[in-house]
Amino acid sequence: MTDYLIVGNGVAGTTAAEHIRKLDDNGNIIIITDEDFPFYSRIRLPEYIANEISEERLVIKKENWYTNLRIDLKLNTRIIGADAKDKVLIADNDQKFSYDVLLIAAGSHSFLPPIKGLERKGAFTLRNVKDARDILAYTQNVQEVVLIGGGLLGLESGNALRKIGKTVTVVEFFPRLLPRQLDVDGAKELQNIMEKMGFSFRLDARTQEIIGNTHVEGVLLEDGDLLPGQMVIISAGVRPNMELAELLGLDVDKGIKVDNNLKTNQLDIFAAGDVAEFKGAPYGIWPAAAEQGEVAGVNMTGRSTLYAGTTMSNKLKVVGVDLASAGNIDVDHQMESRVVKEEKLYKKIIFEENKIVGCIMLGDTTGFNKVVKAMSEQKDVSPIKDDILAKGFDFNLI
Amino acid sequence: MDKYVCSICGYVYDPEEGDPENGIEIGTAFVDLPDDWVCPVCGASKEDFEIEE
Repeated sequence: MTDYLIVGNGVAGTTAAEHIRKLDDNGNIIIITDEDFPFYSRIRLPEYIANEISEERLVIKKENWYTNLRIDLKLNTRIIGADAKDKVLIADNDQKFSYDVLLIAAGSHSFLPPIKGLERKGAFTLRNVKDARDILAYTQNVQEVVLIGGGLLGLESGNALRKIGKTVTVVEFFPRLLPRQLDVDGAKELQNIMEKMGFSFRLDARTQEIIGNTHVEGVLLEDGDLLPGQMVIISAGVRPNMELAELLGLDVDKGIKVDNNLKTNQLDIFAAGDVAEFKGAPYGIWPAAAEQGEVAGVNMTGRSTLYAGTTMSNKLKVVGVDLASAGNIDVDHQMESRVVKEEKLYKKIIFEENKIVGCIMLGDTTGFNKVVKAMSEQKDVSPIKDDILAKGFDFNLI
Repeated sequence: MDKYVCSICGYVYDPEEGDPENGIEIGTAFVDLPDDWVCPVCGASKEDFEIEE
C-alpha cells in the first residue's frame, strides 16, 4: 500500500488527490495545509469581502468529499523539517509524516515590495481566507482605502471595498491599466468606467512610504503627494513558497524545477501549481495548477502522462466588465486597425496584410472566439474588414 | 451530455460529476442548471461557459 503525501490544499494538491484516488483505491492519501479551511476558491475572496457570499460559499470541497474519497486532510499543520533520505516530513506540532511519494503544492504568497511603513496596522495583502477575514474585521473604522498595485486582483479587491462603501484610490506605477490586455485607448476607457463607479487613479506613480503612527493614515507618493487612507492593500504579485523545497534540497530557480512529468530532480518528489517552475517560469494561474495537479496525481501512482503546458485564457472579467484580448494589441496605434468606442465599450481589431493579427474587446466579447480562430488560421478577411465591428455583425461570416 | 468550460477560469462542468457542493445532483445537464448557478471556482455566470470541444 502506497503512502501519498501532499503538501498544500489548493487546486493543484486537491486535484492531484482526486486523481490518485481514481487510480489507486487502497493507497493512503494525506493532504497537509497550514490553513484552517478545506479547499476553497481564492478567486472569489473579493466577493466574500464585499459581503456577497458567505465564508461557507468559498468552500469548493466540503468535509464529506474528503470522507468519501478517504482523503485525510490535516488542517493547521505547518511543515518545518524534512528528511529526504528517510522520506519523512516533520510538522510544527511534532507530528511526523512519512511518504512513499510526495507532492509539493504549497502555492505562493503575496510579494511585499520594499516600502517603508508596511508594519503599520491597516496594511494588508490579500492571498488567503485569513487575509480576507482580517481585512473585513478592520474595515469598520476605514473610510478611505489606498490600493498599491493596479493588476487584476488589486482592482477586484478595490471593487469589493468600494461595494461596502469605501473610497478607493489605486496607485499603479505603469502609465495605464492592465497593460498586457489593453492598449492606450482601451485602458483609458476602462479607467473611465471605473471612475464613474467611484474609483480614483494615480497612474505612473510610485509609493514612497505608508505613513501613520501605530495605524495607517495615508500613503506618501514619490512626487510628494499624500493620499489619505486608513487602510492600504498591497497587490504586487506573488512568489512561490519555497521553504519545503529548500529543506529537501530540491533544484530550484524561480520555482521548484519540474520536468514534463511534474517530477522534481529528486526521486518520488513531485511539484505542481504556483510553486512549480515548468520551462522557465511558474504560471501562477488557476487552470495551470489544475492541469498540473491532474498530471502529477496520475504520475504519482506510477503511470506516466505528460504535461504539455497550459494555454493562457484570453478572457477576463474585471470589476464586472467583460474583457478579452489576443495577439498583437498595437499599443501605440501604429498599425492598421478598426476601432469602435462607445459608452462602456471599446473594440479594436488589428490587421496586417488583410489578416487579423490581434484584437481587444472591452464591454462586449461577442464573437471573440471566431476572431481568434481567424487569427490562428491566418484567414484573408479583406471582404469583411469594414463590417466586422458593425452592430449585429454575424461573426460566422469571418 | 456535453461538458462546459468556464471561459474565465477554466473550470469544467461535467454532468457526470454535477456540483454536489452547491446542490447540483450528478447527471444534471448544463442547460438544466438553475439560472443563478455560478462557477464554483470564480463566480462567473452560466453565460460565461462554452461547450468543451
